[in-house]
Amino acid sequence: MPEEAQLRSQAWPSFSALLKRPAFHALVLAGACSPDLAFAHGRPIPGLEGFYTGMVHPLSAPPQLLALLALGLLLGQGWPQKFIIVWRAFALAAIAGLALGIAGYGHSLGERALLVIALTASSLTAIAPTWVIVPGRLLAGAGGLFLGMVSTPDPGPLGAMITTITGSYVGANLALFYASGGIGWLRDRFNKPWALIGFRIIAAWIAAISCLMLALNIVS
Amino acid sequence: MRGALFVALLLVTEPALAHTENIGTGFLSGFAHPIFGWDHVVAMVAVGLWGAFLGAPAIWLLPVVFPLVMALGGALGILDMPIPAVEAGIAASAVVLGLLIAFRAKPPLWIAGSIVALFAIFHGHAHGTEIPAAANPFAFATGFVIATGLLHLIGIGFGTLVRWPAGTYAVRAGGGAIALAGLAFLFGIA
Repeated sequence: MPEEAQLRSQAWPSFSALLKRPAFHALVLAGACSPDLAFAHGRPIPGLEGFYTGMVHPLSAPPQLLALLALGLLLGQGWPQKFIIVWRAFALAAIAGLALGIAGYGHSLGERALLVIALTASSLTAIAPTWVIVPGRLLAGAGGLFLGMVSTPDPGPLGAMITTITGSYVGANLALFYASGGIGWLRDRFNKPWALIGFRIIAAWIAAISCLMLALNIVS
Repeated sequence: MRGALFVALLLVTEPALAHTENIGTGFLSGFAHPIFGWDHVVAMVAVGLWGAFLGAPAIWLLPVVFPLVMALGGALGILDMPIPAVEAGIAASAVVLGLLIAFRAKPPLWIAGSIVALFAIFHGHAHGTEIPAAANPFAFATGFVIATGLLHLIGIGFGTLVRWPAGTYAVRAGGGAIALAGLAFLFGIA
C-alpha cells in the first residue's frame, strides 16, 4: 500500500510538492506576465482576455509595480510566517479598494498614494528590515486598498467588469506572493550578510525611484 | 528548470508594456545624467571609496544612505524648492570626502552617515532641477539611481585595495586626487 501511494505521488505530485518546484513557479510567473498567450484556435473560454487584462493590470503602471516590489521586499523579510499574517490585510483591503474603485473613489489620488506606500515600505526595508508585522500590516492594507482603487476597469457590461476585476485581484495577490516569496527564498538560499545588505541597497534604490516619481507626479 | 523556462518563454508572445513611450531614451538619459557630470562622478566614487576605507558596516550603509537622501534632494529640486549654494556644496563634497579618505579619517558611523547625507542633498537637488520634462519619469529615475549605485560600487571596488598596505596608499592617493578635483570645481578651474 505505501508503494502504491508512492507511485501515485510520483505520477501526480501534490500541490504542496508543486509549490516546492522552481519550474512550477517559473511557469506560473511566465503565465502571469504574458498578456497575450499564443492560442491556436481563438479564446477557449469567453472572458479570458478580460481576466488576463485585469491580471496584468497591477504590473502595468510604475506606481503599482513599485508599490508591489516595495511591499514584496518588506514582507519577504518575514517570509513565510509573518508574511501570511500581513497578507490578510492586503487581501481584505484589496477587496475594499476594488469596491471603492468601482464606486468611483480614489482614482485620482491612487497613484500618488501608491508611490507614498512604495517610498515608505522600501525606506523601512532599507533602514529597519526587521520591522515587518505592525508597519507591514498598515502598509500592506493601504497598498491593497489603493491598488484595488486604481485597478478597476472602465464601465461596461457587468459580466466583463466582474471578470476583469477578478483578474486584477488575483494578479495583485499573485504578484505580492511571488515578490515576497522570491525575496524570502533568496534570503533562505543565500543567508549571508552580503545578501541581506544587498536587499537593503535594492530597497534604498526603490525608495529613491519612488521619491523622484512622487515629486514628478506632484509637479505634473 | 532551464527547460521549463525555455517553454515558458516560447509561450510568451507579447510582453506587458503599459507605457512604452520614451522608456529607452528616458533610461539612458537618467543613466547618463550622473555619469556625464565629473563633479558628481568623483563625489559618488568617493562615497564608495570612503565606505570601503571605513569597513563594515559603513561600506554598505553609506551607499544605502546616499540614494535615499539624494532622492529627497532630487524631489526638492523637482518641486522648485531652493537650496543655497548647490554647486559649491557639490564641489565641497568632493573636497571633504577626498580629504577624509586621504587622511584616513574614521569617525563614528552616525557622523559618517550624516556627512554623506548632507552632501547627497546637494547632488540630488542639482539632478532634480535638471530632469528633462520630456523624459519618461520612471525610466529616468531608474537609470539615474542605478548609475549612482554603480558609481558607488566602482568606489567600493577600488576601496577594497585597502586590504594590502600598498593598496592603502593607492586609495589615500585617490582621495587626494578627488579633493584636488573638488578644489578645481570649487574655484571654477575645471
